[in-house]
Amino acid sequence: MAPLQLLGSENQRPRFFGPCVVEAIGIENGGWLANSAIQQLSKSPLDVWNPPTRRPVVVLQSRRSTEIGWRRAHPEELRRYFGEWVALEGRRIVAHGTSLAQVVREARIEGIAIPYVFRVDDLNDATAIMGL
Amino acid sequence: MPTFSYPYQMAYSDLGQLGHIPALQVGIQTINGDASPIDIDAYLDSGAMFSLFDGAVLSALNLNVLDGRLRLVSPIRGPAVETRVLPVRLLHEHLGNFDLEIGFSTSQISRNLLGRDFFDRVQIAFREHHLTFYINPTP
Repeated sequence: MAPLQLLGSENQRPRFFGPCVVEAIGIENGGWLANSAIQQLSKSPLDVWNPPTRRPVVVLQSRRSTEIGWRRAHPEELRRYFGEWVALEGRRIVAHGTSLAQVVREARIEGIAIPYVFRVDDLNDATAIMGL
Repeated sequence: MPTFSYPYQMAYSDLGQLGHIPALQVGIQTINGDASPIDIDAYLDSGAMFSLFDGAVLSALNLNVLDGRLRLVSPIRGPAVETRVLPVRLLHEHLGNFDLEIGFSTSQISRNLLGRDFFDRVQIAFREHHLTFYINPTP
């Protein structure tokens, strides 16, 4: 085992390797992907000596963050609509029903050009979800 | 060591009882853009070979699910899910528009999935422990 491998991850990081590469992909200091011995022996000197220019990461908020926050805060109210489609605009339910097409039509009658719609699932705390 | 940069960071969607979900809220409309879109949740699912949406979405776009070609989707258990593949346009204010051929279920499903056809258009990195993902809207 190389001596460098005996060090903690924070000490494996070679001094000449700037912090910008790590931060560019959002990995915290110490969250190292491979030990520094591997990096120093790497055949890609470009990565070591010329790390890419650091660019700030833009933190995006969903344009439906208000609605998502409302869903999180009002499970009891949503429970009234189990199995139904709901059109939510801001903190207001503008339409609901079992037909998505009808819910969208009603939301547009209410003046919502692009309604945010979702179906209220009948889940409980013992339920985990997967893709299919 | 290859490095990758991601211009955008997003938090998982905290949907309360459903927990934190890596998802995007996207607009969906017809491929020629002749109908107003609707906004829906779409879960990021790198294990899905193709994107799969609830067929009810098509009715809201005035499209007929049966107009699409048949594709059967094999779930982790139980019979195959019948879908019909139709071209649609997904809209995201930061990531851009994505014209995809999405499978729409002919029966009710619980959630809309963005599968590997979507991952083919963007680069995504997950930090599950931080309930965060990073996204670069280039292949």
